[in-house]
Amino acid sequence: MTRGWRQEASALRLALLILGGLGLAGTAAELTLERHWDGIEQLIPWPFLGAGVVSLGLLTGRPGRGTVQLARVLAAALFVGASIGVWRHVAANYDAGFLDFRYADRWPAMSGIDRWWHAATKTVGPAPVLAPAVLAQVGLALLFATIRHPALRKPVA
Amino acid sequence: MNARLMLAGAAIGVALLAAACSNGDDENTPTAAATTAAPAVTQTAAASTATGAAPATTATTSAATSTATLAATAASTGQKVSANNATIAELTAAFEAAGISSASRWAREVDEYRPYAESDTNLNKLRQELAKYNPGPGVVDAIVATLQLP
Repeated sequence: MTRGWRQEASALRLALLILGGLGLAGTAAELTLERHWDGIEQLIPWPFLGAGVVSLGLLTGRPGRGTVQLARVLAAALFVGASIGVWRHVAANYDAGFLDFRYADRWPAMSGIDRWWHAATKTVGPAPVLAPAVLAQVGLALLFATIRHPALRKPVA
Repeated sequence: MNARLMLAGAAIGVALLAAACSNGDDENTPTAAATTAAPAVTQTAAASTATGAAPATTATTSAATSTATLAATAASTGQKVSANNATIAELTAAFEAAGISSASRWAREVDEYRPYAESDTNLNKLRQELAKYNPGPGVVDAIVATLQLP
C-alpha cells in the first residue's frame, strides 16, 4: 500500500470512528431521555452501548493487533445485539397491536404481512424500531473501521 | 480478502435479519386476547345494562359511552388492588371485573412498569406508559381506577 493510500484509508477510518462516536452519543442521550431502565429488558441496550464505547476507545489512537481484534469482536457483538434489539422492538409492537383501539377490532382479520408492517413502522405499539438500528449501524461502522487496519498487517520478515 | 469476508458477513447478517422480519405468520397472533377485544361495554352485565344492552357498535360512535361506562364500572366494582404488590392474576381479575378488555395483557403492562412511587397518587407514570399503546377512550382511567398505592 502506498503512502497516499494509507493516508486516505486513515482518513476514512477516522470518519467511521467519528460516525460511530456520534451514534453512540446520540443513542446514549436517547436512552437516557426515554428513561430506558425500567426492568431487565430495558437494561439490555446499556451493556451493548458500553461495548461500543470500549470498541471505539480501543480503536482510537494507535492500537495493537490484539486490541484491534478485541475491538472487532465487541463491534460484532454490538451489531448482533442491536439487530436483535430491532427484532425485539418490532415483535413488541406486533404483540401490542390489538391493544390499539384503532385496530382492536380488525387486528385478528389483518394478514400477517399487514400486521408486521404496522409493527415495523410503529403504526401500532410503543417501541421505536429505528433506535436499536442506530446501534447496529454503529457496530457496522466500528467493524468496517477495522478492515485492513495497519495493526493487523503481518510484520515484514 | 479480509475486507470481502467482513462485507459478506455483514450482508448475510442483514439478509438473515430481513428474512426473520419478513417471516410473518399468524403463530404469534394473540387470538385469545384479540377475540375479547370488542368494546368493553359488551363484556359485563353491568356495562350492558348501563348501555341498554345494545349490540356492539364501532369504537368511534360509542367512544363517549364506553368511556363513561368503563369508568362507572371500575368505580362501581370497588375492587382495588395494589399497583405495586398485586400479582398479575390479581390485576387481571380486577381489570376483568371492571370490564376492561384484554385484561391479562394490561395486567402484564402494569407489572412491567413497576414500581410506582407512592407520591404518584394519580399514577402518572403508568398513564404515560400505557398511553403509548394508544388504548381506547377511558381504558387508562379504568385501569388506574382499579389500582391503589402502595
